[in-house]
Amino acid sequence: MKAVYNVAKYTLLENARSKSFSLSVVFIALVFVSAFIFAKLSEVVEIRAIQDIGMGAVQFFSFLTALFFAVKVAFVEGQNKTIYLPLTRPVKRSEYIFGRYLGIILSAALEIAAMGMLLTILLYLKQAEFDGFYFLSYFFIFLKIMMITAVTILISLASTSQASAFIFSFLVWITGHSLGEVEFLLDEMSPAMVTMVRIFKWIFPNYTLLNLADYTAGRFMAAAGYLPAVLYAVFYVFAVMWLAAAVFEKKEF
Amino acid sequence: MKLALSAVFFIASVLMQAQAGKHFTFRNTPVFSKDFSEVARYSDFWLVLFGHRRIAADIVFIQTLQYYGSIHEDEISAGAKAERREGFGTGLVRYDKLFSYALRTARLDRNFEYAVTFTAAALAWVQKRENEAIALLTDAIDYWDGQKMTVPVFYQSSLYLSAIAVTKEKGIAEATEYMEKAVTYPDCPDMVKNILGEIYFRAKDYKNAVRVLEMNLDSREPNYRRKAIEKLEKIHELLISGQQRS
Repeated sequence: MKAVYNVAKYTLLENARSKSFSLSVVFIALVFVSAFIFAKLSEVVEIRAIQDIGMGAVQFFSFLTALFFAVKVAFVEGQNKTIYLPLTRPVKRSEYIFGRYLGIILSAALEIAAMGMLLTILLYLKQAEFDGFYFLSYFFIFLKIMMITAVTILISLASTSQASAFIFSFLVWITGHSLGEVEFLLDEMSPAMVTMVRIFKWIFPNYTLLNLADYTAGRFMAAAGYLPAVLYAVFYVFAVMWLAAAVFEKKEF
Repeated sequence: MKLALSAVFFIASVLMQAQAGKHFTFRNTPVFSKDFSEVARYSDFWLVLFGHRRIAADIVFIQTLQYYGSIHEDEISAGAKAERREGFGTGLVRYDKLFSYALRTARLDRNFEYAVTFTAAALAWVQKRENEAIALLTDAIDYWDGQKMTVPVFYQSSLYLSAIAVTKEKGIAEATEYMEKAVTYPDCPDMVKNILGEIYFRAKDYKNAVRVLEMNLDSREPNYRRKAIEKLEKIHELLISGQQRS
């Protein structure tokens, strides 16, 4: 456990110093500033637009940075042979991969918290009203990032190029969001297709259950559904990460 | 061992997903529909695929406002008396696609009540197309009725539906009771306040006209601010001249 903690700490410091991390922060800040163009609209639409675009930016840039760090850890380090150094130390491969994962999601949590705070201040200045769902949305964004980071690490370990790792991870992100969008088509699908969609929902991260930022009025799920949704994300992450650890164990660099 | 652990967690995640799914009451509507095919765009689809339905709805609503705020040469009403500079609300432009734009916004984000009430008010009380306004409001209300929510939602839409139905049956002057309730909401569009003020003004109910028009004195929309100031000045003049005569 101590080894996991040490690797995570190292990863967090490494990511915090990374240029891509600072760059994403600057990008999000620019998106927030651009939100002022909505000042001419009615108050309701202005606040709504700033919140939606701001939260969308937080989610998208957190996704991009998590993607970048995950591919770097699982693919680039193997390519550059820099992975040899940590693996020569008394650290198990599974501890290393879990530690790296923990470091990445802690960086993502920091990024989401910092940007969320900035957006909240901006909305507060615009006299927006906040409810629990608004703050919960950030936590659900974090859960989504946790899931995609784990999947990206697994994909990167199995990929033969950096580009394919990025492309497949992007496709998983899109598939995860579109699973809920095909719901209304299920009635018109053949039983075989319905079964396939169901299996896809098990394999791919089902973001429909976690996309609280898209339903901030909180009318999308009964309160009793939140805990199972959180546990779903956590269990999914462990399932993918143990699989990634198994792949990493067998991988030859 | 690792694969076994992965399998156990995978089964647990499937079970939890099913459990969460039981409480998931929301079902999105399709991004494309033949009901608004004339204004449908692929950009909505891409944003939805990245999990940004609300942003897509915001963008479409802003496009709706741009459409409703511009003059379209191909939609100029035959025999319109208004000047071009006077813009919307004068009967100069028909805004044929306004209903389609509104439906596209409403279908993208089922929680966006302001977009529904704003466009329904414009369709019914400015463009005089009550049937389209009723169809838009009914589409939104029926959707939420179908969700069987435990808390009432889209209350304002029901209020607008009543007001527009009364307007259609008995005329706009009879709808003031519902419009009065609508203007008490902080997110009531300034357009509705302007229309209600105008109804009172025409009925020579200056006390209520002043009360409602004063709400628009701090409107963000310069057009409504100007209209409110002009009308209040007119009421002031009428009252002074009335006092002098008596």
